[in-house]
Amino acid sequence: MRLLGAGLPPTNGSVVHRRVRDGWDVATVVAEFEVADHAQSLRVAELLFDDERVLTVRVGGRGDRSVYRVDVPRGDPSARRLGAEPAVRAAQALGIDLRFVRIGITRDGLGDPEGDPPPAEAVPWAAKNSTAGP
Amino acid sequence: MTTQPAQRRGTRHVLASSSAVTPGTNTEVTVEGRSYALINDQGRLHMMRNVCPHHGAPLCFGRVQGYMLPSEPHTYEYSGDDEEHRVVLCPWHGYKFRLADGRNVTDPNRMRVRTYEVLIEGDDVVAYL
Repeated sequence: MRLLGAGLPPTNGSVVHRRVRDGWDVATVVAEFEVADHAQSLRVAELLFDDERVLTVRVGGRGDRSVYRVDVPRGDPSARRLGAEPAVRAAQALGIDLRFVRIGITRDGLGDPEGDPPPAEAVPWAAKNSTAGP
Repeated sequence: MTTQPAQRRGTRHVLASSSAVTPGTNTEVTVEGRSYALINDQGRLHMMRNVCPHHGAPLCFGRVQGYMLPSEPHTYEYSGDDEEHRVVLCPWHGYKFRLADGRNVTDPNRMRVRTYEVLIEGDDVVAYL
């Protein structure tokens, strides 16, 4: 399985367990699963929704983006990693490639203003917007 | 809406008093920092996460209704009050999600929102989450 775009979440240091500080945030995860056919996209949706933390799924077909939302502890620096986990597990279970486009953390799941942009190699089409000169 | 006690896992949460959740109303309830839509559709209580899978709109503001069922050409069949076919419409873009299982009407296997069981215990509307 190839995995692109997940980025490196902030390091957690040596702390393993973190308590829920002030409720929960919602991680909105946009990803592209390299599904082979319609049946495989259905399976991706099943696998994602099997995770109890996942609250919504919208899985696209071949070449489409998928969006799902996950509860993550508020203020937890590992929230992005936690949000990415269901997708990684689903991709591993099916042995397919996965590319993360964006992972945004908000209180209500609306938009993703805090989402970190993916690394350039994950979105090669974004290069045309580069302001770097020759 | 009833389940065996063994299936009722999780912590008991009182969402509201049953008298406060009248038929035809949608209520946003927050449990441990999470937002849910509590919907009383003709006396039937439904609870789902308050987020549309499309763009995250709060489903508690959505209208509840039936929808047109698949039918032969030139015939029209409306689901009416059939419990299995009642839906909440996303207030932003009109996506329909079945109250019974949170599945989207047009793409039920790939687009869905999580639903939860709601119980009436005495005068309380409760959920085990």
